[in-house]
Amino acid sequence: MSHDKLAELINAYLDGEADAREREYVEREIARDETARAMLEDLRRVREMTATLPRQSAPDALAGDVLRLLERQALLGVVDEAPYVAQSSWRPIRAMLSIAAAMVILVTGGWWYMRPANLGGDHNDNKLAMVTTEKDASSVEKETSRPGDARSTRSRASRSLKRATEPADSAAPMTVGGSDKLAIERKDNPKLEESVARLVVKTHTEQRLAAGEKLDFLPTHAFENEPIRLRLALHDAAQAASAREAFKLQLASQGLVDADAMTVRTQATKLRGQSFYYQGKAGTNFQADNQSQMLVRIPVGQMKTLLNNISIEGVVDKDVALSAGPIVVQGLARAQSSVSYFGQTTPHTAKFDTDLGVSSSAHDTKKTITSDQASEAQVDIFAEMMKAVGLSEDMLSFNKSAPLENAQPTMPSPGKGRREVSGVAKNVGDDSLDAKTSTSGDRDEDDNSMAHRSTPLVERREAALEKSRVRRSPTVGRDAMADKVNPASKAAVTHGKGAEQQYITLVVEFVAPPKHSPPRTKPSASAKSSPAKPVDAQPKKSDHPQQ
Amino acid sequence: MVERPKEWNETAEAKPAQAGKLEDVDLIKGAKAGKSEAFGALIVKYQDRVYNAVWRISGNAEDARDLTQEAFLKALQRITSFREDSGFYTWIFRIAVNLALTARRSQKVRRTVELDETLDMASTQAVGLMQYAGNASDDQHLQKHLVEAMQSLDDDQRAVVVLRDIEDMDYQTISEILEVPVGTVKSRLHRGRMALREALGPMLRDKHRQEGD
Repeated sequence: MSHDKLAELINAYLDGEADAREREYVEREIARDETARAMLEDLRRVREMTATLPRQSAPDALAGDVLRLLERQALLGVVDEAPYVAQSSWRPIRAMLSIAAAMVILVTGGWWYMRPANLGGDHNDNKLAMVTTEKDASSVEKETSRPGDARSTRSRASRSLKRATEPADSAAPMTVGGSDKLAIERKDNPKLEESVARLVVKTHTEQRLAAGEKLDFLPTHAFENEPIRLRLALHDAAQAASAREAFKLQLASQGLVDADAMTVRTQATKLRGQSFYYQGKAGTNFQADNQSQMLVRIPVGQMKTLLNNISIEGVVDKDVALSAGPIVVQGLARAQSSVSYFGQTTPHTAKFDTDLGVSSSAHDTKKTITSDQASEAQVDIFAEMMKAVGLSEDMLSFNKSAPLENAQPTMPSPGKGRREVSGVAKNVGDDSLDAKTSTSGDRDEDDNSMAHRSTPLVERREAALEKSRVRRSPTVGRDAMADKVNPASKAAVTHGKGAEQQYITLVVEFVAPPKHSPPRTKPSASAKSSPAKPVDAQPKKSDHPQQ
Repeated sequence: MVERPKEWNETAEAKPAQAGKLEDVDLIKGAKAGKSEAFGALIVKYQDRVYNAVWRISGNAEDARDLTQEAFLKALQRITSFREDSGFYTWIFRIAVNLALTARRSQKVRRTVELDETLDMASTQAVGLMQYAGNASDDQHLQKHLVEAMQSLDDDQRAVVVLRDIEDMDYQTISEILEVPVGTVKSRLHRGRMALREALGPMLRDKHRQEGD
């Protein structure tokens, strides 16, 4: 037997993988031959040393990152077949988003309002409220340099896209979001047309390019994994299209969007996306045909204005939810009420039905925003948002409760039950809150019960707001919206301070109406005259004029 | 910056202790049913082993993270096609090791800096090695050379050495993971260990003499 073969047998013998005949042979050889014995000992030592090499543990956030990546892929439509997504309780949202991959219109400013059709009061229906945030370049680079995407370190690429602000045949690169940089991953999907390369932006946008086109992105936001989402429950799926149109007008009235340019760009682009130019910043809705989702960007400094502008009298807060991954701030639909809610001067009582909710008590202006699996980036962005509306960062606390399963407005849905979170923020990470939440006994996985419980909440909130000294904003129409433009904010945008500003980016999602009836709501007492819509089992098409 | 609970980055869906208690079959069943907590538990259960193996094969921590992440992503994406005739452990390792080997092969340019990387890998382990008993400096030195030698191995040989000597897998499992015959596993392992033996040579024998004293 050759020396090499003997060595191979010795290795197998060492590992207990030699058969009887081989064992006998090796034992005979090592007994007879000192060289064989030495080889055995050397190999044994090599094996032992290798086995005792220090072990590295996986990065702490790996599991969470994988799950978030999977969700992002599902939102982007990258995963065609993902039972996790299809069967998860996110299905109502993802089903919509998977129809057309999640993409975005990058716009600054403009709040839109979406008024559920079955709400009473004077309302301009089909308006959507959007808020966006975006971090600065340094943090974005830091985040995008992390291997948050499995391919990020190996296949990252950036390309130049024709400037959205210039004629379609211009080859100048388009920039978005100031001097930030966005890691772009280029991915060739064989399912696409051969001439089309699909770029998967590292964060959450997707851009299809024609052959030869280049994409040069500056970062739109710095979300590590999940953008903040403003989810508005549609009581009528047909509201989405009109809402999008109204949104464009709202942005224009805000002085933040060049509506004409938007239109022109939209028509001129060769891409599937729509390009927008707004006060020195360009944006792109990469999936313009995705009627279920829009992205809006706004400087943090304009947050308060936007929150104010989102207010519509009589709007049920529960139909509007702001979430960043597992962080949900339910109910933002009030200008003054949001101020009063987040503000520290007007106490009121409110509870929100949500897995992760914001709550306050009549005598405590501290608010609790709980989250479970939000990334640090999400939390930071939320902190920025909260500060922008007067909520200090130390009011944030985190609930170590079960993960959010369905971060959408609290409309009755066939999803899992929600845990009502109530209580007062104490110290960050206060376990007592956790205990309070977990033992509140308010957990309910029955939709009817949830819907029923939501009614008193709304009524209480309405009553409390009535008593507040802060006047509600009137129903906001187009002109009214224009009047509410914050000159300072507008000036900040106009003067191109974006590079120094932090932006908030929200993906505004139109949450499909559930199959069963939304929660019973009552119009506010001070709502302007408008026929109150009876709540029935089937959502009706809105018959209110749309903007 | 808001202070966050220490366990913030743990998947809340399945803490390690809980993950260990659950059988793979139940977790796989749950994962196939689309339950995020089930897949989260699977990740938590195997992420350390997968990561460590991938790290040893790729020689780069950053790549290892990416590759491990990608491996679990692929596994979840394909979970419905997982036939369970081999364990999830074997399956995820197959995905991860293949990804690592593919990545290594595609990074031909990186081979020129492998030595630096291995040195980095060895140096980062230096502190960890200090906790080991015995002549710390000699062991540390030897381990460092071992790491360097491992990174100098042929990729296929290194993969087998990692799976056998670090992950303590038997030849059959390695064969399934690498999708090669057992004979090939034996051959690669033999060549890999012999190469390490040769690379460590005098140091190995010096240590042998020390232990014999």
